[in-house]
Amino acid sequence: MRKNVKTLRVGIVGYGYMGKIRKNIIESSPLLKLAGICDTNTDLVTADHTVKCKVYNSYKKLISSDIDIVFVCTPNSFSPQIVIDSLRAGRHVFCEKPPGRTLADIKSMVEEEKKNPGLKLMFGFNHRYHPGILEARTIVDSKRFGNILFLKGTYGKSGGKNYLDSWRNQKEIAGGGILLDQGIHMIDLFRYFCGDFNETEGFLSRMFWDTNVEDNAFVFLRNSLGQVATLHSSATLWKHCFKIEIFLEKAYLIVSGLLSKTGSYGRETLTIGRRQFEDETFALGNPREEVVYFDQDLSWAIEVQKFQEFITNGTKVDNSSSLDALKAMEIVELVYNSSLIKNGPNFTKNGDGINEKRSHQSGRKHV
Amino acid sequence: MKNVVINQVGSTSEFKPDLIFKKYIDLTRKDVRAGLCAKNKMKTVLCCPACKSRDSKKAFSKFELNYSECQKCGSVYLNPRPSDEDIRKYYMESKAAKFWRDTLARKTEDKRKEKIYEKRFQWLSDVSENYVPSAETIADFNSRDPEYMREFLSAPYFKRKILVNPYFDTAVLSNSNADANEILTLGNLKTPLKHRETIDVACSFETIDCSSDIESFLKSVHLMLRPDGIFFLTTISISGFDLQVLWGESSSIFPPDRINILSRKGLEVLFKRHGFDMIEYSTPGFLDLDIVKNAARKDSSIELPRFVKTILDNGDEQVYRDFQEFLQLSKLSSFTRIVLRKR
Repeated sequence: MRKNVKTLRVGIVGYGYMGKIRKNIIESSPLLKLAGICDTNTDLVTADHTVKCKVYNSYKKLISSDIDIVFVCTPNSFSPQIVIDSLRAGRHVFCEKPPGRTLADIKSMVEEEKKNPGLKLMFGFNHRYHPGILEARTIVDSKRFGNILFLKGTYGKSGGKNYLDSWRNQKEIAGGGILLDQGIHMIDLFRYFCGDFNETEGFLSRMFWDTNVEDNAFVFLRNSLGQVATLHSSATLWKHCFKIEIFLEKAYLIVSGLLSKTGSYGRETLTIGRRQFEDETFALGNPREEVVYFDQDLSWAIEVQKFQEFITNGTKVDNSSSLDALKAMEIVELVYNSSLIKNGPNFTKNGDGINEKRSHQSGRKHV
Repeated sequence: MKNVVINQVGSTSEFKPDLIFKKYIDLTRKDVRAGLCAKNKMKTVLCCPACKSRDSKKAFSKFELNYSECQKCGSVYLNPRPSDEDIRKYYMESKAAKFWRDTLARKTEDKRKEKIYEKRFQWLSDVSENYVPSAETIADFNSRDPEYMREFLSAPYFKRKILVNPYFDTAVLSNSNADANEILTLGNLKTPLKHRETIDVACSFETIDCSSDIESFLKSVHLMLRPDGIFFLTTISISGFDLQVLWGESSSIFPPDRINILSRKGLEVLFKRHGFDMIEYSTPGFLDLDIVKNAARKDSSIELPRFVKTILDNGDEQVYRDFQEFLQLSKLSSFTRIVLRKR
């Protein structure tokens, strides 16, 4: 069967953290061939002795070479134009999240996608394919525990000494702070479980890190069925943390931890607790729980395989699509537009000199 | 591969009341020595039933019968051993087996229903829905527990149920859904052609433990399962805490109920060799410490390692629970549950 499937030639734009992950996944796929990598810093690429493909310093050269797919792994400010140019050049495109810096960015990409109906555009919401999430989704879909009542999500970072230097925390390049960087994954998962939300509220805070973006976001969502989702996206949890709690009519599911290269989010688990019923008398309030431990993260491989299948089979991108990206971005932008970034307690106190140490930009104005 | 940890509490006496269990062991010893394992009936096996290694040494004796320990995978197995046909007759006719069915199983029926059967059916149903949502047919292999089989036939899961049972006259089971369900009494476990690749889900609870010829048993299950079908098993593993601590002193190990006590490594090798992928390997047991504590209480000649004694003697229930949870988390409880997928 595989004999008839054409091997697809792939180019990667951006050889940072995500570019390297994508390279490994592409190289492990029998149906993809890595044909070129582009980075403005070509030394970075050539210094990697595992790179055996052609190296480019201009993405325009890469996308006009003999490739079928472009993986866009660049900072947010560059992604939209590269996506648009790649589609115009007739390439299928896989773009990392977030889909640009603003809603206008993703809209412009969707517009170009519409002009090229034969091409596939997918975004990197890989959390959908983590084993805990996949299993939780299967359980939810089976309806054996009834409908979802509400969702609670916490996603956060420990900070770290390089926090202030990262482009991810600079508004000009990233477009936003922790909500756009990490929180968007959780918003995508909320939609994955509950569909679209039509009410959005949010608070943005700058609790600790002195940048021009939020380091904490609290988001409240409600859909037409009355299902509610709350998100705390944070860069001040002082530890890496991922947790989504799904409360259903007859049970609760908690996906906690994320399998990752470093294991810094903790072991990925799915806790299944069944609601105790009215006729049960023992251990009320402390139900029997099952905790499933997972040991293999195939999320990157699954999402790339799905993308390859959408192309090979000519089917519609129905997962992590541009629509999913657009809807998630709408929520992010609603929060950004409706909430000022307010400083946390003691943020403006200068007595201990902490702010001077934290300060990354001059001329900062606190709200 | 998944590992499932379950916060459940209970005690050994709920399932094995002291006096009744002692009588069962005494009857078993007599029946085994007098009939099942009479010297002229026993066959020596050359290889480890799990990994096929020929390198073994004596582990311990039970009822004056030898158990060998595989030097490659650590599995423990009765050697020499009776044939499956003799074991089948034993479970149909022996006084011990009758006592287990009529007295021990009945006395503990309520607890078994609540803490074992119901949880088991939930497990079967939940995992099947996740991995084979279209599953309609489930087959249970080789149960020796009539009460469980009744529950199995009437449980509100799966459209069609098959009991594959060589061990006793299944006519005694009331079959509430006779049209949909099917009871196969297969003396030699040969799979009829019409049943090949017809079942979506197979299950077998603590039966590889007493199978003289695991190879044939697994081949039968594999043949009946459709491709990508899943197979649920439970067993006790010699890698588990109570068995490692008590070893030959464990009251859980005796023939013919436990003639194969395979290690984790042995189980992994065994199922891989038979064309199964492992989806789950968990040891959600909650009785290891209780078993060790009871064994030491009943037999003062059992000398426990100092560290184990410290845990048992400190009286802190939380430490007790945490340690049991650690065993589950580390796949080191002896009660083992496994989900396999046919390749």
